[in-house]
Amino acid sequence: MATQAISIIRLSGEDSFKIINRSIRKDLNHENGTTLRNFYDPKGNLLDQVFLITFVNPNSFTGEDVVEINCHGGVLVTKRILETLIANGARMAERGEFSKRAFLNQKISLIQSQGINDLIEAKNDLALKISAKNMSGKTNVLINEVKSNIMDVISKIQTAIDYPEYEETDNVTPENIKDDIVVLHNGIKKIIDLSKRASFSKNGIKTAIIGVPNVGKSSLLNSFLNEDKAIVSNEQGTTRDIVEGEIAFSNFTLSLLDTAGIRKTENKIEQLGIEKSLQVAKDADLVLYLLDVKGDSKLIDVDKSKTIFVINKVDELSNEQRKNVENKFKEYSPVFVSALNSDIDSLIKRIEDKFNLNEIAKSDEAILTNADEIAKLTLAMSKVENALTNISNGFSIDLINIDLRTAFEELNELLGFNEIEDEILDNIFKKYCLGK
Amino acid sequence: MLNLFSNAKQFQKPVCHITLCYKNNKIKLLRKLHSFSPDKKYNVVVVGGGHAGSEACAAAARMGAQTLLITHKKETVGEMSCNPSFGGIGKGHLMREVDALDGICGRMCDLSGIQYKVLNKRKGPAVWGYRAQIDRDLYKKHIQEELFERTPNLDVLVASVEDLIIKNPSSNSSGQPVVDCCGIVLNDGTQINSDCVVITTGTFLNGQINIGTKVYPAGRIGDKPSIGLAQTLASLNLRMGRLKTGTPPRLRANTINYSVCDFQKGDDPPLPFSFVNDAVWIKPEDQLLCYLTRTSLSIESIIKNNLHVNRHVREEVTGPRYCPSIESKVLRFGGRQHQVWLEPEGLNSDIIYPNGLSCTLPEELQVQLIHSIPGLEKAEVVRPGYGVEYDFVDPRELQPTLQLKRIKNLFLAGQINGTTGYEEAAAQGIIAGINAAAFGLHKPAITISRTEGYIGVLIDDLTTLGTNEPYRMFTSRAEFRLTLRPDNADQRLTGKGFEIGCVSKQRYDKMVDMKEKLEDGIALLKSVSKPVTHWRKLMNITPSKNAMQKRAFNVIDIYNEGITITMLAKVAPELLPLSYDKSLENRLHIEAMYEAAAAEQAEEVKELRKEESLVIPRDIDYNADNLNLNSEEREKLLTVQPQTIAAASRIPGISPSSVFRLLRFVKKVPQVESAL
Repeated sequence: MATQAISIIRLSGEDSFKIINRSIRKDLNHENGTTLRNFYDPKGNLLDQVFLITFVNPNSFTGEDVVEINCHGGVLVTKRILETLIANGARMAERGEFSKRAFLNQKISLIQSQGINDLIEAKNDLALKISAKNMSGKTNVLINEVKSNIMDVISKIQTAIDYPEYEETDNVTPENIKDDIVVLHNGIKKIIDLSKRASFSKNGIKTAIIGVPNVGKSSLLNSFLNEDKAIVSNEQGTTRDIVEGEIAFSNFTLSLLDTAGIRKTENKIEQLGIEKSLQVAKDADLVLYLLDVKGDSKLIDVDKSKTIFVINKVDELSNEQRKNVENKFKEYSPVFVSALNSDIDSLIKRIEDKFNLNEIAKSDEAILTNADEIAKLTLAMSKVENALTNISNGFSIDLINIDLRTAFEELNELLGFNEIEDEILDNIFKKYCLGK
Repeated sequence: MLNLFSNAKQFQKPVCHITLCYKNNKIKLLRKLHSFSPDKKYNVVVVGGGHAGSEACAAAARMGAQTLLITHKKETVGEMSCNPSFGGIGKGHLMREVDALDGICGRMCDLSGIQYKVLNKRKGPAVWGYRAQIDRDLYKKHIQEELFERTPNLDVLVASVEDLIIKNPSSNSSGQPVVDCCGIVLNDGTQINSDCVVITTGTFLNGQINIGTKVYPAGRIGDKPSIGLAQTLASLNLRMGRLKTGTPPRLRANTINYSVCDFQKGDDPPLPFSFVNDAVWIKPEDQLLCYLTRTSLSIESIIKNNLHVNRHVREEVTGPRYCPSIESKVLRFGGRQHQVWLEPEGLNSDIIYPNGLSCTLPEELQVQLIHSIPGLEKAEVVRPGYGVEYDFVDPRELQPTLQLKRIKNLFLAGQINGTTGYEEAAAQGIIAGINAAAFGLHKPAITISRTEGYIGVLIDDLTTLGTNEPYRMFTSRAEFRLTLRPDNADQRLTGKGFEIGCVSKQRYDKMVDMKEKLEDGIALLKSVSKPVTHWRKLMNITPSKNAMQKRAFNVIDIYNEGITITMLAKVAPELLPLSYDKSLENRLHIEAMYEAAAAEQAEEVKELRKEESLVIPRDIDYNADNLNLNSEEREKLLTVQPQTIAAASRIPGISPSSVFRLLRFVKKVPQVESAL
């Protein structure tokens, strides 16, 4: 995905309308047409205003129900819309799948299909090259490690199923494999977390700036914007009224959430502002919490693990005052900045440390940056979570195995394999001495 | 060691006993045999009377085809050459499906089992494995009675087939030779004409037995191999390969010390294999026990020190990994004890089959090895174990109907296609038999999809991927295993079988009756709804605070929780009728358990069926420029010659874009989805 004026996402299949309707407030009519709607993520946050073009089967390219979503071209917006659609039940199309469906539904002729196919093939080669480049050696190692763990659990289950009289797998019950599955889950989660961090460096850290009125939020924002290292891009509105802005630093990009809100609350002195900020903070990867040096040391409730506490206007403090403040907020280990003097290096350093950004930039760490790849991994994780839920619900082991198999297939696809059965059988016979 | 064949005679004693029994039926048999005449034109000739051949000739005859079974020995028709049991995981699934198509092995096992056991009872019903220890003699007796006396349209001939009648040589669009098969030639030169021929010669093609350093040409101990037929097949340019397998020594039952062994009982009540039976022949308490012992570590030195006299193990021919010899277990997994099951061979048999001890050492070393095992210290070795090597035809030479792609009217089934196991053989036999008959009777062929049955998985795997070791069924091979369950094989296949003509009206009616009951039952269970807390309180089980409404159908969706429809009926009396019929109750319960998972797979099933309906024409030219295949892909496609887009996309190494280009040649794009 490159940044472009407008991105078009195309949904095709029986559930197209059902899926889009989950993200908009008023259901689309099942008819051909064009509509403007607000698009919301699964948590109900507004992502974008989108222009929707609907095609009812068989009057579409694929011959199925199709919804085209025209959204604003920012990478971040497009990515979040994609993520939302996937969360709501869509999946990324396989290469050439739209043309294949069109052909199967007799929408295109043989000659057309040949032409389209050449196109697909050209794209395939490109896509292959790109994905090969994207996947570093270390990423492969980590994913392979998870894959081999998941294969071991599946092998154990399938050995228990196919060789019920074999003593070594006598006690393979859902309860007994739970710990193995938790390990798997953590393994996948680790890669996703790393990838998310990597995608922070590429796609931006969703950042919320919060604090009581007049604590210096606006000036901090300004100093970010004025930072000579920072390149400011604004997607909508005027420079001074950024709704959602991205600021790219050398190692990372901050994607500021609802900065308009900050300005508003700075202007209107009212307690409402805090509640609004809290709402924004929930959705953020990073919360910059500006502390009020004169105020109470008891703070509003935020997730500390993703919060950096900041004390602004350090230039206004004497050394003694600074000491007192340091003492007062000791437990929050705040960063001192002077936004007015554009002295925010320490904060930038803290952000880099917090997200390990320097290391990621230097190292060949396990990272997936492609939305499709992360989606596959996320699906694998949700299947593993499903397996865990099913275990606590008392489901039998053959049902639990199905989710693990799907997770395994996703990982295998990620690594570019598709023959899974032989691999599992080989593993079984390598590990267990089977057969009467 | 004694001469092998004089030994063999000694071991064939039980067989002789059976032949004597048959003397009573001799007149009938003779009349049957008299009905054979070399001038008669048969629709179907089946060569070989093992488990594939038995199902094939029975199915062809049920279809109404004039059928001839040719066997080396009448008395070995239905012989269980290896283990004395039928079924198991995956294999039991196959048997239920063969039964759903009105096949014979399930019904015969219900008449001849001596210990019935459903494996995996504690796991989900989708992976239950119906299995029974079988009395070899009884099984053979029932199979022979069924085929020789109760199967109209079937003649039996004792003879040796040496050659095929081949006509009309030509070549296909890819330049490969193509011929028609129009019958067989016996070793005395007699020609028998037929519309179709089914070959089910098991391990007999160029069969060779290995014991220690000795080698004998044989298909089974005491039986001649088929050499002429092997040469014929090879001369028709079929790709052939070689596989090996083995069988353990047999022990004298009363020389074993069972007191040091664990034992295993049969189920009470024993469950039948067949959908048409409500019970098996034997009383639960009359079932025999199996015993379990373990090898001691001392077998390792016996095996490792004698590899130089163990020809079979050193051979570079692939054996089955899932049914390995004790030698390969020791060589690959040293330092452990291996399980040995001691299985009775029959009610009146004094022979024990030590399952897990397949070996090919010289006989005196086998004796030494056996005597080192607890409980077997004084065991008499009645017959040594041996290894078999045999030719098989690359199953990618076959269409999904089991007809050869390049030899019209010739069908293959069983071990000749690279499989192992009675059940795998029976499954192929029934399909080959039906299709051979269908061809002779000008009916459409039957193929089973991967979405419809394990039989479909088996045949699709073989014909699309081929095999490099004896192929055995596993539940894990079936991606739709949650819907391909032993309980619903009748619902999946009986209708299809009835339509083509291999299923009796009686069985079909029974299936339809059950289908209606299931549908009504599910509807009823879905119509009754109460809050969860209510259900649990009324049934007196661990209370829950959950106030959500739950349908009766979903209250029982966890099988192992122990809630039954009978329990629900106490709370919701309208469900009472469902609890009268225990088999219905059980089946409804299983449906409830798998409904959600099956629904999740439905989309995949639909997609695969769509791709399976896209038939690639037989005369496609893979060398054509506009297909733009690379040489590796072309070779793979030429080898497999996939019949459908679904099969093509399963071939490893064929890129999605090549599959897409194949679509251009698809005969007909289906307009409407067939009903699921």
